[in-house]
Amino acid sequence: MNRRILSAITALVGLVVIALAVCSATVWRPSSTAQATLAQTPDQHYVVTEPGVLGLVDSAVTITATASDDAPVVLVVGHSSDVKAWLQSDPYVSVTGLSDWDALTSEDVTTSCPSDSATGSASAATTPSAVAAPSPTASTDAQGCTVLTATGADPTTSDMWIATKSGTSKVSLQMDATDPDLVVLAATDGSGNAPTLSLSWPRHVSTPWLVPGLVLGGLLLLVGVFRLLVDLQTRREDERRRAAAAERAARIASADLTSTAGIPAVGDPDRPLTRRERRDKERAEKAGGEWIDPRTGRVYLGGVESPAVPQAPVSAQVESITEEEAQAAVGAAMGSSVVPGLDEAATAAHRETRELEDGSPLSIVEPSDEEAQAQDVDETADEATESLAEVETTALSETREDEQADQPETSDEDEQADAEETVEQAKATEATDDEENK
Amino acid sequence: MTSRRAFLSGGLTVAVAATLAACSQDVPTTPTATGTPSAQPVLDSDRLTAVLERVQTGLDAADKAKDATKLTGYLTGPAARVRSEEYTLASAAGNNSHVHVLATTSQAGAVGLTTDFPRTAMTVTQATADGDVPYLLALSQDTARDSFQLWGWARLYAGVKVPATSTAAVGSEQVDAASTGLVSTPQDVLNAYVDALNNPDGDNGKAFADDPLRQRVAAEKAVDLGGMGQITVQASPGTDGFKGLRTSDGGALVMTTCTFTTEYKNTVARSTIEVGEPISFLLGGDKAVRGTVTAHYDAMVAFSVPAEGSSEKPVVLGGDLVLSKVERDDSKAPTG
Repeated sequence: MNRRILSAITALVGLVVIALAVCSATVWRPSSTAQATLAQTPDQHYVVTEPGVLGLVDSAVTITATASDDAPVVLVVGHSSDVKAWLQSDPYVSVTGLSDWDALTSEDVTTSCPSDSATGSASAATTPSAVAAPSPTASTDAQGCTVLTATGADPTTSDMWIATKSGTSKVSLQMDATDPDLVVLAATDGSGNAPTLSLSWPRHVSTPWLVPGLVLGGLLLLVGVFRLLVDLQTRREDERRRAAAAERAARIASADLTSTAGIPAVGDPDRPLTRRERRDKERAEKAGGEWIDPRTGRVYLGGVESPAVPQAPVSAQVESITEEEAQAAVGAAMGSSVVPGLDEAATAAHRETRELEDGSPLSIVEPSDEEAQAQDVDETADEATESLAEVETTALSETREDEQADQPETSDEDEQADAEETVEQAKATEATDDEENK
Repeated sequence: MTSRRAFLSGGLTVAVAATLAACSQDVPTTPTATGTPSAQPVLDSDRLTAVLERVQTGLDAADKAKDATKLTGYLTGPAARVRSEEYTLASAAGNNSHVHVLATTSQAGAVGLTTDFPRTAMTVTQATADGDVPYLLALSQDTARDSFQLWGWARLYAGVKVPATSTAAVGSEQVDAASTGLVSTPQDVLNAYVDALNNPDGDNGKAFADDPLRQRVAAEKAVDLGGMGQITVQASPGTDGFKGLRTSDGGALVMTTCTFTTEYKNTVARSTIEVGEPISFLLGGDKAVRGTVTAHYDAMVAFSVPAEGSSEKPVVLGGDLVLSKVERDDSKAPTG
């Protein structure tokens, strides 16, 4: 039982793993397009990507600039040095990278600081003077950086741009950003706030769990199904065996009446009957059939003990009687009287034994009905006994042909044939009986 | 049994977790910029064509009106100045033939390879339909917010061969007055050429082949005033600087300017010397030279300077000349 549940669980887990693997490569597969947009609307006149941002995900990038209303929008692509040179002293929004898959990070560039070392020396040099003269110029902040002021220039017409695309409201531009030095500058017409920038790339999405998941899930499924099948087969085998046993038991039960009668087990006569024996007994009594007490071998018919029929063992009969004795007891073989060759003396002697004793005239005495019937029965019984004895004797005489040499050849042969026939008949009868018993 | 179930459920959990983890790919980070960006060709051929077309458009409009102010944004440096002088002369003469017909259809272009300004591009135009010779044009972008403008042009002399340069896609190193790696610096070449103009029989005069500009100077000098006057021709290097690009073989293609003046001096009192056209146009019709009349000529010259170590000498590829102004000084009139 447990094994079956475990197999089912294994198969189920296999299915689940396969489903997960397939899902990981389909519904859970990340979008094959990564689109990242600026978090907030720029408050500078220009938006510029840093070098390398355009090719962050893939070299094939689609840049989209969206202005709030029907404002002119221009997207230009140029080398970073060109764009920086063009911007000169204008503040701008610098797009620095991705914060996640759909958001761009940006920072406002409003001051232009000299390189760090220059800043250090400059601040060291200018700080005392700044203290002396509190407001050196309006365009320099506390760190000595130049504050950038917007000029409102329109970048559209510059020769430096590798690609330019302008329109209204929304402009989209596809480009190959293999060169990391390429950057994009988005503006309206330079006099207003820049449009919102959005970058989208085809994204290489790998499905690392598909194949391992399929393999693992398939293995689990196979193992589970295999074990289930084995279990099923075992169960079927078990059922079959059980059914066979039941059938056998039923057959045995139905065959008990005849077959068990032949093998009475005589043992301790006082032991209690086994369950089966009791069942047999009850069944026999119910059916009114014969039941043999296995302890004693006594036969009961319809629950009543039937007297044992004394039966002399055939073998003993045969063994104890010699030929002479048999001859004497039974007399000459039946039918031998009609065989020619008996002399007149013997015939006479024979007839003499049958002669009426007192020579009284033949009188007809009417016997009572009862007597007559009894006589009939007796005669019939006698005849039956005689014929049985005859058969057996004949059978016995079979082996002693040579000793009956005095008898004529032909009759002897006839006799023998008859005897053989009879034996065969007996054997056939026996065989039939056996079959019936079975 | 328990451990097995735990194992299975654990495996399942791991599978689910891993699947979900696969969804959250790491966001790529922006690579840090690597130092100074490498130099790029300042234009590509398409943009060069666009620039030339724009220049042509502006030039055509200005030519039509002969208005030098309309050249702004299209021509700069000596080109703008010379063009302006041409307009003046043409207006004074009433003859548009004094304005060179410039066709900017490029047959070969070369652009600078730099991130700095000014930036240079040079192109050789196709010969115009009416049999005019090709021009060598020099374009310049002075600042990032300026567009490329025509800085100078030179009519290519017959028989010269413009050295090959790298294509616009590759870019060429820009050359200035003091560039080295050449047989001599562009400034020295110009000086030598000016010397050749002034002293055609000197060493430098022999070094340069004869060309239309030298012929013109020689012709100016050779004018016979019949002993009543004196002509002095003096060439001097220009001050516009140089625009040049390195050629494929390491030499340079350089454009610069020079000027020369021709002074007509009346040396005999009460004699009459008259100057001819087109000087007279700029004298308001008064052809008489009472004292001195000085004609100023503006010339744009293009050189090919071989690479250092070459046995060749700098060659004048072409040039163009315009009468820029004429000055009259009657106070120097001879007395007596």
